[in-house]
Amino acid sequence: MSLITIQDEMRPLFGPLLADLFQGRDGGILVAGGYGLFLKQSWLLQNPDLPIVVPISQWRDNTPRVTKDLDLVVGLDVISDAAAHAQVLQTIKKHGFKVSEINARWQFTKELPQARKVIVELHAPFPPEDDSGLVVDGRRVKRKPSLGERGFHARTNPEAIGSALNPFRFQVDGMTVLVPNPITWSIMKLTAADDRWKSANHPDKPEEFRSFSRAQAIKHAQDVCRMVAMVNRDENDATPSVIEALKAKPEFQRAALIVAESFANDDQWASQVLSEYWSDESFAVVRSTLRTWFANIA
Amino acid sequence: MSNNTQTTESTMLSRFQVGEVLLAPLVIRSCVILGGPKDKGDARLEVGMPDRGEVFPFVVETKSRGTPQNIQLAMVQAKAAAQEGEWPMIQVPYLSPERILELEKAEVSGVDLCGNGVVVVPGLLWVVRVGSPNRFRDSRPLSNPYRGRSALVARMLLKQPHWQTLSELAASITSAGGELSLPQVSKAVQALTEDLMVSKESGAIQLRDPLRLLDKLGGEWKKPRQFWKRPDSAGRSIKVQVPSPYLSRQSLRLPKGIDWIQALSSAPELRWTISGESSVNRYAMFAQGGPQRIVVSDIVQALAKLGGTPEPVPSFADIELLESEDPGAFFDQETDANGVRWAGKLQTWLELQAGDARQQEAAKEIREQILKEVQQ
Repeated sequence: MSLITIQDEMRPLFGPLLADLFQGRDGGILVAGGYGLFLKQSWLLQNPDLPIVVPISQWRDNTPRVTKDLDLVVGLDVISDAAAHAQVLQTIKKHGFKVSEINARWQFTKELPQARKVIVELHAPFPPEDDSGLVVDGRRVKRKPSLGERGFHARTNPEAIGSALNPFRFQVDGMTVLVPNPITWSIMKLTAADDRWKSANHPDKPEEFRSFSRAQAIKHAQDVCRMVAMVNRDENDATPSVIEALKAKPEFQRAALIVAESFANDDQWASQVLSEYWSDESFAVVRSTLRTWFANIA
Repeated sequence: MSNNTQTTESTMLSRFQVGEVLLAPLVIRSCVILGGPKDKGDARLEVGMPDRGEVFPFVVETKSRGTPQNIQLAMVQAKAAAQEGEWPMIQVPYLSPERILELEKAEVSGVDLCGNGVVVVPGLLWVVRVGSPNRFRDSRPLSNPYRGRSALVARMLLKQPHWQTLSELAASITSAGGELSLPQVSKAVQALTEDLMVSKESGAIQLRDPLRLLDKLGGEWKKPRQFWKRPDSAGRSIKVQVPSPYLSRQSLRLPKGIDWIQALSSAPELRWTISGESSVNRYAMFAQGGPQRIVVSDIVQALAKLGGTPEPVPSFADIELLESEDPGAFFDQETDANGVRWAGKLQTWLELQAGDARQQEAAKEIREQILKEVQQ
């Protein structure tokens, strides 16, 4: 039993929703983003003997943090399944989330007292071109034929490639949670960090925007490190097959380039901003793991 | 007067000249160098502040080597030499802040050749200066009895504090896995005697200050050390300074089903032991994850015996091999019924006290055990 008390303010909001979404489903919906990292860290804190890349006790900042966003990666097979649409949409509505007006049918919000709100977003990788049951429409992946208001969409997230491969499964408070394999999760977070860093250095953007982008870039880069640090031996041993399946994809190759240009050496931006969060030894192991995964690709 | 390669007592005394600064701002007002067979002390000085007429008389005992033993002897001699109205003072090449504190407590003045010292006349005068670096390296035959092979003597004394003869002490070091000749043991004991760690009486050796000895051993363990690096393909060896006690390390996934204890033990010339860090549970309550760390005398040979594949993530390894040339790593190890060679208690403490906060906590518990056992 863990002696660590984890304050999860989002659990009353996200917990029942996730439990209902996962009910009767063996996979198909993964928890990614900051909340996925939070749940995995919470689980690891309750299982401290499980070997991971950098034991949480060695992290300089090992306090789990929750975010107000819940990013779910929805499998393409779920999107093409009409029955799943009804179940997912009913569940989301049952827990008080409403369709967002500006990002209709892939973003859902729940208003809280004192003008606060929490957000659930559905993401999906690009479907294969020969998948006749799905269609990509701008930023959305949609079922074909459309279910109209009886269905949901997912935001296209090309970096979620390979999300169906070797997701990692664990239990938190009796609820089974699936998170992406470390390669897919790295690609998502590395790309987010790089996009934000480029915005932060865009000379035409206002200072406030650049400052916010910089903070977001650092957050995503730190999430990369936390994600790598939490990888266990079984997950790591499964990475070669995932890499083999993804290495020819442009999203993987871009991630490899980001590692080479931003994380590999001490004088690169990510290394510089992240080094304060980790001991030299821990940071070296994290970077070495990233280099191993994305070596000789770029 | 004994000679020193750096300086002699006579040259040290020759700096006492009227008008010269003794310990800033104090100046020498009068000086008589003693040397007669019946003289007690080496010099008589009167010192005072440069702008005042009042002077303070001292009798000075000089030693050309500032070992703790010599300083203690000089303090006794200076006190014995002080006549009515005189104050005792010693002079050595270098006084550390620790020694100056001792002098001050004993109300004995002391000056060195580096600008440090304390001049004290209770209730009337107190001048102290510390921090000038030591310009006089110790020239004793064995400069550091707390490090490397010589430290095995100190370690054995912490295991058993009294020895009837030097030979018995040397023999026990050999049987505990140390390779040290009798003259080397003798030199180490002499150095420890000069540092007041041990005393010798009629050939018997007695540990006097186990607490300070542990601190010295622990402090030396934390310092970077030099190794002769393995010869390269051209046969060249170079000396390298490394921040850790280990020359190289390798995390390893072992072949399935291998008996690694048997594999390592099958090479008679290969020395190996579970590291102190990984032996901690034998001596203290401590929970830790990660692979077991095994110290070996030759990592190439160990890898050849074990096979397996290198693991880039240390946490995922089955074992981590650490190569060490430190004879202390394999000293006084304990072999259990399964043939596992565990680090001794002192080695375990040395490694933990240099580790992270949790390891240092465990080190405290083991330190108490060591001190309790040595005082029994």
